[in-house]
Amino acid sequence: MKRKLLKLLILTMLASLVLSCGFTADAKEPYASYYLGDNGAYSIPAPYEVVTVIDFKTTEEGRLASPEDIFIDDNDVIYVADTANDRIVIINPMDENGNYTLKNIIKGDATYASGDMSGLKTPKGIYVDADGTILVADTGNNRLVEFTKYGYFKYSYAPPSSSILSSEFNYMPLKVTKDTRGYIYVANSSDSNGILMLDGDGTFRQYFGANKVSLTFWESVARLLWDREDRLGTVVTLPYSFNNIYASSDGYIYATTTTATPPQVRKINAGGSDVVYSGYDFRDMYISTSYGASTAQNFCDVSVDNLNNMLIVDQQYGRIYEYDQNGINLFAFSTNGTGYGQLSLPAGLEVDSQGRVYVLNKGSGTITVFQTTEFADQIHAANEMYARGKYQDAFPLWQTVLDRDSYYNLALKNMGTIHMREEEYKEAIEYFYEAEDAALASQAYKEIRAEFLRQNFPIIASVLVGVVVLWIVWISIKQARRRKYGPPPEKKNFLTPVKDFWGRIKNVLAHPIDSFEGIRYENKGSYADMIIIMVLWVIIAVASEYAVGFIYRGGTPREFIRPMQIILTALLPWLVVCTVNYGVTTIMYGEGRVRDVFIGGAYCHIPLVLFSLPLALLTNVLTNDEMSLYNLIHTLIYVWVGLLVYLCIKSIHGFHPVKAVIVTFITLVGVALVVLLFMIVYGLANQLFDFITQFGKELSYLV
Amino acid sequence: MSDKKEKKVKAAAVPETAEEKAARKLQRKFDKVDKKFSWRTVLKIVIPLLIVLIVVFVLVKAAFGNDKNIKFDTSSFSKSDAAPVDKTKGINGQLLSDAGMTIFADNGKLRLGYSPRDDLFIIQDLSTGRVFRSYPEPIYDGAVDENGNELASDLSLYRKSSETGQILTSPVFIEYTKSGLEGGFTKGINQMTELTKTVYFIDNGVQLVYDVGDLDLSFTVEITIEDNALVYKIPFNAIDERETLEWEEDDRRPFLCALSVLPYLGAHRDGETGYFVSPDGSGALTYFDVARVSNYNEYSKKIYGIDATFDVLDSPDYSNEKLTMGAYGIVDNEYMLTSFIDTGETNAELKIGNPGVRSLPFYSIYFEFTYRYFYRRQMNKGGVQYEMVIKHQQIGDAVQKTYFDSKPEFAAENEDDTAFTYVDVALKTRDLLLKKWETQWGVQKAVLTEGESPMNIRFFMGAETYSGGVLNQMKVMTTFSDVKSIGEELEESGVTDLRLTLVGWMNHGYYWNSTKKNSVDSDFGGKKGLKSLNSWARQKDLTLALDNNLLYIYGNPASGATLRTAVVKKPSTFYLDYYMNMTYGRLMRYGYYMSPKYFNNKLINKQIKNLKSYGATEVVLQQLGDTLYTDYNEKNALTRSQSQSMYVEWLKKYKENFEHVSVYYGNDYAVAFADTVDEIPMNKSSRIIFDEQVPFVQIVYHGYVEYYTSPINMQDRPDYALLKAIEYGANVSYEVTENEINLLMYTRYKFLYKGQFSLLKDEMVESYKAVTEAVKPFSTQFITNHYRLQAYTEVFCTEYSGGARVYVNYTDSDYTLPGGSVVKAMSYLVVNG
Repeated sequence: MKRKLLKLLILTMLASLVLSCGFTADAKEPYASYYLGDNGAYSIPAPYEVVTVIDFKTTEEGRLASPEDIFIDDNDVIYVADTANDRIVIINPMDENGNYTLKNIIKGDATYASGDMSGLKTPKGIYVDADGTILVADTGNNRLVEFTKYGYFKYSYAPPSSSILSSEFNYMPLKVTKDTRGYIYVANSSDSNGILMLDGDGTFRQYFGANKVSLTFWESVARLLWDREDRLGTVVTLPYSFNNIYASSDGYIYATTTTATPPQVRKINAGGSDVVYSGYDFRDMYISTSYGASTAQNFCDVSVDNLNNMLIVDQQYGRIYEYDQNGINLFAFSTNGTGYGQLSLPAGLEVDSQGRVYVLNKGSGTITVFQTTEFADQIHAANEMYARGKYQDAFPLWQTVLDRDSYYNLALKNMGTIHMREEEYKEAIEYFYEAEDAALASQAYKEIRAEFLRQNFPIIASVLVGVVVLWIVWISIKQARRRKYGPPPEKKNFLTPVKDFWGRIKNVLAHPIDSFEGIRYENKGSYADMIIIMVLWVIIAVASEYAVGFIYRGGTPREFIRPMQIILTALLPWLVVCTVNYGVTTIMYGEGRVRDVFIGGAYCHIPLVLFSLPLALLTNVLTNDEMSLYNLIHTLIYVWVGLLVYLCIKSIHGFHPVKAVIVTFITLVGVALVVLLFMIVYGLANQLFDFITQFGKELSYLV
Repeated sequence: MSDKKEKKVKAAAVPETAEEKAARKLQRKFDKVDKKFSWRTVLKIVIPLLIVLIVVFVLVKAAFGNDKNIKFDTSSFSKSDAAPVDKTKGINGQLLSDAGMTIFADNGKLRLGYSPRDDLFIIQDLSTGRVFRSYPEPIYDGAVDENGNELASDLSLYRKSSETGQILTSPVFIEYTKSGLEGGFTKGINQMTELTKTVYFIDNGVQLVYDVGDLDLSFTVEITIEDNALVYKIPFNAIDERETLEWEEDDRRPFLCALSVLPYLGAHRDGETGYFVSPDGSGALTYFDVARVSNYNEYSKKIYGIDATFDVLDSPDYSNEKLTMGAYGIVDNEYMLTSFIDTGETNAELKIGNPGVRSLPFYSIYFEFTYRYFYRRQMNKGGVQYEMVIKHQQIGDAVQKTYFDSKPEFAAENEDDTAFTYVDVALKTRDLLLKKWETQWGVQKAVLTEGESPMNIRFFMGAETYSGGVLNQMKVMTTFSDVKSIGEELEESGVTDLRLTLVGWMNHGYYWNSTKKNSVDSDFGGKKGLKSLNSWARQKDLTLALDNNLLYIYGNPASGATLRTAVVKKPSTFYLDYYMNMTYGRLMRYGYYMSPKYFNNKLINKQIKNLKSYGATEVVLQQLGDTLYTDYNEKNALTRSQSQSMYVEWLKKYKENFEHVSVYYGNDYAVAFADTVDEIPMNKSSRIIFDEQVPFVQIVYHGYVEYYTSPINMQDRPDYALLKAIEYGANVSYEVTENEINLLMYTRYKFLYKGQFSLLKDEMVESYKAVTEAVKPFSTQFITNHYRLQAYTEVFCTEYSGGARVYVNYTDSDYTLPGGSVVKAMSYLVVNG
């Protein structure tokens, strides 16, 4: 009995064919879903699921052919520029059964060239006014054309003309849109001057939001060195043109450009300036495969949903990215492919009033319809509440998001920020630690520290004063005893070598020239000192890395500290500089011996040994606001080390101060050459190894 | 007088001057030098040169090897000769190649006829009289449909001179490469230019001997009838790739790559009723009357999943599931064809073509037997890749059987009339599979008598971060004592019938390097903790299973294993890297595939011994049920079919040592031995050739083996996944941890978005109640029927052999059954029969 139902099913399916093919929802979507966080890409439950594909496979009118643009009006009616079919296809909104049906088709009876004003030729852009007037970028006929909401020809715009437009101006409108003021914006093919901004009657007004020329480093150098005349005949670098535009209801123009490097997508205000995304690099560094596929993405369309989230689609990989109004990436999903729910050379993207995302597939001539999953709905709701300042309402929503996906950092950050607003800084900083956000943690810590100081100032001040007083008393007593009894007799015990060592260290800091000369001419330095200093330096270098506070580590977990790398970084400069210096001074009549150079070099590390760890520990009580102070101390330590190096070279080799400067400089050049040489040798060795491998593989097929 | 004496005499006669003496001495020296040069110098050059050459040869061989050097032991292949010709028939057993339709066999159930002239096979089901053709009947001029409308004739497609005609009438498709250095060409055998076909009578059928002159190749295809099945056989010994003088000079010779038999048997035109059934994932249907977006590429997929040695994935494959068995079905209301591979399934591919493929307006489905694979050869990483063919044949005999079941005219209007469905194909496949397991592996799979726990909790114990610092890299997510406390907490909530699986419990956690000795990581509680957990589980009457990675080497081979000895090699001389799916659209290399032979020789006994020492009674074995590959490592060379046989031997060994053995996904050879299948496929591939997903694999396995879903908390839609489990009669899985999930942020295990037990507990308790009611009671029964209740409505019914029906409603609104019962929205209803 039941098996007959299958037969009925088949018959029913045949009887009710519509534009779309329904989907059985799946527990897992056939594409990657993730978000781009500060430190990488993190997988998430699918934010969008495919509900249907509008594939036209059953319509008598035939399928879409290389369609290039899609527009959805306020009533969720879908308009498609069916480019290769020279027509506009209009589709009704989704009905209660989840199906889409054809509403209308606009296609002239004859060609525009033969006089039929309604004749379209490769239309690539479409926009529909609130009153239903359809504005088409009739690319092949080099014009904009308007149709009534019933699809009748209304008006054909003349190509823009103006003295501003150059004589080489070629009008080939690709995309068209209108802002809330009624200005028409046209993305013109290969026009590097910007978006054409026209008055409502089509009169040229100005170029809008022109892209800047992006030069490579060498091009910039060439510009500095040669003037325009000298550069005649070389390739002229022009700004990138636009390939899509979108006017949002709040008056911004969103545009995608033809470049794979920033600015790929722009949000432009009425004044033509970038907002939110200025300088933002939309490249997804995690999209390339392990086989080295190019990461060059082609962002071909942009749209904005009701919540002001921006969605962009990448034609190269079929990936859709959603950003909230603060420019934070919420999701990345979908992929190119031949499977259900996968995209095929997407050319356009729109969002309807229900938040459904429509992606126009140029390759297959279909429209893939996505709808949000519960996970995305939770994030949208939480983000919306947060943006509207309803923090108390947003908090539990973010908690729900976090319960569903523990990796969703935005939830942690926003929950922490909500605590901040409630002046619950200790709770806030815990969230920021978990989110590994150093900047926000710094803000919270600043408040915690201020609060601590406020509460404990009397104790802290008393302790400080007490310590100072005790210290003064101690010194006074010591001096008094010394005056009365003379210097204490020298007693030798197990601490004597340490005291001696400390004396030598102090001497280097207080009298560097005498100390370094003593190494050379009085045999004062020793290998033991050298080893002790360098071992101490290595230990302190490693310890300092671990001691740096969360904020000054940029939030990176301590597990990522690689001691071997630090040890190498600590020892290599000493070894290389000393070796090069000895070599240089040998031919420049320096008097220092190998022993003196290396021992002296080790002594130069004393400021680092003494101050690195305290500075690192200090970062635990500093916020980002004191970063400049930290940097200053850090720089001073290295300047001190540099000075010691100079004095070491001068004193050990017995150079005149000027000659010592020259030798120091030559030593640095020598170090740079050694590094360069190493890189060359390393590179060549790699090449050689690769060559031998290839040769061997070739041989293996012959022998 | 001799010359010497003469010289002496002359010398005595004429006194020598000082200059002459000096010149003579000098000459003598030169003579000496010349004399030395003549032999010593040659040796000085030749011997070192020889040594250098030998060293280079040895080094090159040792360092890179070459697929030509690989010696596969093909003794396990089934290799039979062509069947003897029945010389009592035809002209000395042979039929003229232009003969018309001739009856070759009739066994009372089927009648087999063949027309050499038209290359047409006719199979008649004698029980109903229904006739099946090896390619569809043409639409003749003037033909009309059932409504009297004239149909467009497609006779032109059948013209023998046309390409389409040659393809359509070809009983065999051949894939070959002409030089071994280029991709393969697949052609209908009738498209070959220098083709000789000889037709012989054999017992119960016909033998076609093809000689393809332009490829210097001959092979034999035998088509016979056996009971109600049509049997296609390609005897291995009858494949003759002649190595002529021309080819001997150069190894760039033609190679036979693949053969398919009767590819258009059961083919349908666009718009006809019926569908194909494929065991893709859980199972998938391809309707003939559903218009679809054009796709001129055939669906093509290896049985038992890809072979990583040959198939290169550039990015994670989100849209494909695997084929777990070598079977497919063709269903029309009045008949069904069930095709099943008897021999050679490890190297077979299922092909499904839709109208447009090869410029023909037909849906077609068939198996292709692969003799040689193509692979990408690349000299250096990042270099150009060339497609090349391997030199060794990978299978012996290939045998496929197609069963014919038909019934008299079906009328949808007749209430009592029932049509064939995919359920019938699945039930038929189950019978065939059981028979095959018995004959091939000696396994008599018994019907389950006792159901397992309806819920499996996978405890993720921990994984190491990839930071590489000196601090402890292990992120402990759950300890053995946590497992106990979670178990007890669930018990208090009424969740008592549980299976507990420990995942990543070994040293270094989840990404344990399988070449190292497996010991219990002390971070989780050590060996003592595990033993104590085991005894606790026994005391609570809970099943405790240990998950084991057998063949993935995370990192580099260790503990004496080397790349050379332990890692799978590709024919391109590279070692086979293991790539992890990083879920954000990228593959990440992390280690290697292990040579099955290495595991067999060095590790399996140690692993079993260790597992037993921990008190393990149930083991979950990774890779055996879902991963099959060829090994071109000179030391461990193994074909795909030999890997399969090796897996089977391991499964037997594990079965001998443990009470309960589980595998993943459910390739049929592994299910033959396994007590449980974990992560059984619950989806079909997301391919446009498939229109509907069905529980084909579940119908085949249900009642014989217990199966669990993938952790449903790891699905995009957990609510949907739970309902799917109920619909498909699957026990559910959850993957949980005690600690917060974001501890795993810097490990490679980033798939678990929601896994902390405290967050999942309520959901798990609810799911447990659901599966205890709707899955557990039927686990020892068979699924007898499965159907959608109404077109376009996501409400399904699964019927069990005990008479119960389980309805599942995926929609947002309640669904009222004919009897008035209501299946609530996003819920289920159990109706006991």
